[in-house]
Amino acid sequence: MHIPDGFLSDKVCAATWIISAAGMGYYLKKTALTLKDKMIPLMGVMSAFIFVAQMLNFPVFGGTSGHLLGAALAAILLGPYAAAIVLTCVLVIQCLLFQDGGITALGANILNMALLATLSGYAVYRLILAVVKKPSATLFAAMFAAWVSVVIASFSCALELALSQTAPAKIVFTAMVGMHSLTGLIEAAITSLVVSFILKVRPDVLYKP
Amino acid sequence: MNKKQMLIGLMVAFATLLIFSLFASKLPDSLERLAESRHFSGKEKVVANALLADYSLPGLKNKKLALASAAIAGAVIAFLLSYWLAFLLKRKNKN
Repeated sequence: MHIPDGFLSDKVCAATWIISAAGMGYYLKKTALTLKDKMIPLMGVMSAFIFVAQMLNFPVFGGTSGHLLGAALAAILLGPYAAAIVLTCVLVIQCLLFQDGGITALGANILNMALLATLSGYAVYRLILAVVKKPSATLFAAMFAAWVSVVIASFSCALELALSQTAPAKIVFTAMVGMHSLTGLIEAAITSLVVSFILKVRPDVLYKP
Repeated sequence: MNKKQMLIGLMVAFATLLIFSLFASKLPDSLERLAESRHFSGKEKVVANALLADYSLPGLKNKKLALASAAIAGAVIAFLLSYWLAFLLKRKNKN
């Protein structure tokens, strides 16, 4: 889902850069206010794991591969603000050091995978926990949050490509959102596995608002 | 779970992930696939050449070794960058 340089129009690049910069500015302020000491090493560890997890492509369907995103997992462990910062760190390193995702498209990639994916995942997770007040709901909430986070990110990616008139909207949406609703299932399975493991060994690590 | 167990656990998890990533699928992702089928792959531009482009190391011929080194390098840098940012934010909050 990492958009390279050249796929987006100048207008879309500029708009997504502005939104992402403003969003991250706000998130940095919010994180400074809510950050707990024990979250500092966790932010580092999450960044390292998400970086490697995003290298791990697996075959999805019809000769296409996908990789884990880690946005929902980060949001469940760190809350939406610190999670977005972790994802942004990963995206910046991928872009600048590994040429994975373009520089002009970095704003769009941050918007899709760091801001929207963590926010949507966290919102779904909290919503389910608020409605179903049972401890067993946590795993289901994590699963659904992970799936939604991937689909929302791919939707926003498709929207940017369509607005840039790179390819017809119908085809872009079908290809990106369709494929990522499958990739999202793997994301959901892995996310709930990790969350269930953490609930067993270190339940205190889960973010509490 | 004490700190030492936690650290060992994290290391094992990281090593497992690293080994899996060496055997990652080389198939195109959905965006690359779309670009191929709609013939806009050629639109891709390189604005600046990155040091470790495509997760390879210059001068290292063994591809798996290069990939593993790139993964470890990236993970360490990601850890340090996030940790440093979090540390700065925390310090700012205390002042």
